[in-house]
Amino acid sequence: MKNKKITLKSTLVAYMYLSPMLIFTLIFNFYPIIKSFALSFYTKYNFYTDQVSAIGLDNFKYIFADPDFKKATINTLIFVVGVVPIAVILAMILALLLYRIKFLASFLKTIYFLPFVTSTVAISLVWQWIYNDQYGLLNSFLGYFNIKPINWLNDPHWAMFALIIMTIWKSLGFNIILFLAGLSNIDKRYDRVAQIDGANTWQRLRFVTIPLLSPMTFLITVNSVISGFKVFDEIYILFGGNPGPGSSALTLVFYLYRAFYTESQYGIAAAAGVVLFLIILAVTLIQFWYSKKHVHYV
Amino acid sequence: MKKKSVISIIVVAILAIGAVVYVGSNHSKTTPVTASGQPIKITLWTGITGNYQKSLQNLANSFNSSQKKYQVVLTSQTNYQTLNQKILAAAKSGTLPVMGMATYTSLADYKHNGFIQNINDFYKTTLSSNQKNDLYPSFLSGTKVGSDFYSIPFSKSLRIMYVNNDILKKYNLTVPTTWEEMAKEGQILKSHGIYAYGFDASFQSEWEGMLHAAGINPVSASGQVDVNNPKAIEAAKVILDMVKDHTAKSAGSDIFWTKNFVNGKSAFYIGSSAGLSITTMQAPKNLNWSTTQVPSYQGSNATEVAGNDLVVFKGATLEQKAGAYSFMKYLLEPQNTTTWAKDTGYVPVDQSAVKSDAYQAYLHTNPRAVAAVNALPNSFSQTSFVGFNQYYTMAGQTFNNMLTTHVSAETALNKLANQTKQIISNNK
Repeated sequence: MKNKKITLKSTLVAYMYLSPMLIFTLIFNFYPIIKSFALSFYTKYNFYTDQVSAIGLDNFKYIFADPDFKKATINTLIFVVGVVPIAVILAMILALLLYRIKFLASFLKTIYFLPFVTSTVAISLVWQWIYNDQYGLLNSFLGYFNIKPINWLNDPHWAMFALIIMTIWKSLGFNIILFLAGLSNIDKRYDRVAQIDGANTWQRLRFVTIPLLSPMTFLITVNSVISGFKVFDEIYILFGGNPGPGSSALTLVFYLYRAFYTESQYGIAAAAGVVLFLIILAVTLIQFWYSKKHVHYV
Repeated sequence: MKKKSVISIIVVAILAIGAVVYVGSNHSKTTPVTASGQPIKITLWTGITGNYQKSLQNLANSFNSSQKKYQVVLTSQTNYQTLNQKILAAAKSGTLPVMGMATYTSLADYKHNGFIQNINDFYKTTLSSNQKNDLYPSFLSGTKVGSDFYSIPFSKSLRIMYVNNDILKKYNLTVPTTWEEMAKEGQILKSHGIYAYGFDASFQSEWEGMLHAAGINPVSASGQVDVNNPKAIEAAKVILDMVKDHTAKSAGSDIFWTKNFVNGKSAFYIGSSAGLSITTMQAPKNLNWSTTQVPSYQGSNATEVAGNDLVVFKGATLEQKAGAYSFMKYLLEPQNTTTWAKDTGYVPVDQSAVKSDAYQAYLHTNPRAVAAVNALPNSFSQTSFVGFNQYYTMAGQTFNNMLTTHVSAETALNKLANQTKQIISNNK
C-alpha cells in the first residue's frame, strides 16, 4: 500500500474522502474568514443589504486611535502572559506527580479533568461566588491570615488577576491529560539508561523527561496561547456581561463582540478580528520558529 | 489535466451543495397565502421563558381560538440577548418573523437598519382613539421614532424603591421622599455598617430619572447632547458623593442589589419593578419589606420606563401585518393587559386595566405592586435615536468608570458627551 503508485484515480478517491470535511471547512470557515477580511475594509456599508458605498482603511485607523482597543490589546497580552506559563508549568508538574503515583491516580485524574468537561458558564458562576467580596470563599479563607477582604470582581486592580487564576484552574485538567499522554509515550528505556549511567532523579527529569516531553509541551503552549488570545466566555460570565470594572478585563474578543453585537459597528468589529488574527498568526509563527531549535522529536 | 479535473469536481460539488442550500432555504420560507383555508401564521419571537412565556402562550391560544383567520405562533429565544442576536442574523438572511419583542430604545436603530415597519395605520385605524388615549403617555411616547409609530408597549416596568422596614424600625427612620433625606439617613445608618441606598451595577437609570426631574433630556431626538449639562453633572455627584461617603453602594458584578437588600445590607434599594417576584422569592419570610416610589429630585418625581415593545418586522405581507395588528389589538384590550400584568408582575400598559376590578383586587392582595402603578403618572420613556445602543454601551462604561476607577463626574460625562456627539454625527 505504501509503495502504491499515485494515479489520477487514487487521487480522486482521496479527494472524495476529503471532500465532505473540505466542503464544510470551505463554507463555514474559509468563506467567513474571507468575508471578514473584506468587511474590515468596508467603511460605508449596510450590513443587512450588503451594499458597500465606500472602502478604505478607516476602520483600522479608528481602532488604532481608539484607547479602548489599545486597552483591549494590552489586557489580552497581560492575560496570555499571566495564564500560559503558569498553566503549562503547573500542569506539567501535576502530570509528573500523577504519573508517578499509583494509588488513587485515576480518581485524581478525574478530579483534575472535571473543570474541562464542565461548562465555562457554570465554572464562571461558581467562581463568581468564590470571589464575592462579602460572602465569598476566597475572602473567608484569606481572613484566616488576617488579610482584609479583597473586592476581586469590582476593583480594577484585582479583576484581571481574578480572571487569570480562574482560567489557570480551568485549563489544568485538559493540559494534565495531554501531558500524561506525552509521558506515557516516552520510552522507559531512556530513563533506565540514564539511571544506569548514574543520573539522579532531577537529572533524569531535566535531561531526559522534559526534552522528550517537549513536543507535547509545545503543542500545549501553542494551544494555550491561541485560547488565551480568544478569551471571552469567562469574562462575560464572571463580570456579568461587562468587561470588568473600569474595563480592566476588556480583551480583544470582548471588544470585537461589543462592536458587533451591541454597537452595530460591523466594519470595526471585523477590523479588530483581522488584527487579532494577525497577532495570533505572528505569535504562532514565532513559536514554530522557536520549536525548530528546542523541540525534540524522537 | 489531472489537477484540472480535481478542481472541477470540487467546484461542481460546492455548486451542487450551494444549489441545495439555496433551494432548501427558498422552500422553507413561509408562504403568505391562506391556501386551502389554512390560517395565516403570525410568527412572534420573544426573549422570555418560564411563566412569562406561558402567560403569553395562553393569550396567544385564546386569540387563536377566538378567530379562524390567523394563528399566532410563539418562539422563545430564551433571553433578550439571544433574541437580539437572532433578529440580527434573521435580518441579514431575510428570515425575520412577522413580529418580535424589542426594547423601545432599539426602535430608532431598527428603523435605521430597515428591520421594522411603521405601524401608523394600526394607531389610526385598527385601534380606536379611545384605546389609543387609554395607553399611558410615557409608554405611547416610547413607541415612536420621530412622529411615526413603530411598536406597541408590552412588557413594561418602572424604577421603584424597595424598603427594609425592619431597619427603619430599628433605627427609628422614615421612608425618604427626597434624595436629601436619603443622604441624611445614610449618615445615621453608616455608623451601623448599613448602607442607605443600594443600587444595581450602575445608577444610570436613577441619574436619568433625576435629569428628567430637573428638566434635562440627556440626548434629544434632534441630536442635542446634554449628558454633561451642569445639572447632569450635579445629579451624578449626588450619588457619587454618597458612594464615596459609604452611604450608597453598587451591586457591581452581582449586577442586581437584590441579594444584598434581602440580607439587610441596605435600608433602601432602587431597582426595577420587574424584580418584585425575585425579591419575594429571595427574601427571608421574616423580613418586613415594602415598596414605594423613588425619591424626588429638585422637587419633582420621575421614574424611567424599561421593558419591551412588540414590533412588526419588514418582510411581513399585508395579510400577516393585518394579523399582527389584530393580535396587538387583542393584547391591548384591558382584560388581556390585566391578565398579562397579573401573571408577570409587569405594569398594565393601559389606564382602564389599572382601574379594572380584577387588577385592583390583584393590588389589594399584592400591595408591593402598588408602588409601580403609583409611579406611572410620573414615568417617562427615554428618547430613542440612531446609535442609541452604542451610546448606551458607552454610558454604561462611563458610569462604571465613575464607580470603579473614581473618575470625576465632570470628566466622565464630558467624555461621554464627546463620544455621543461622535456617534450621532457618524449616523447622520
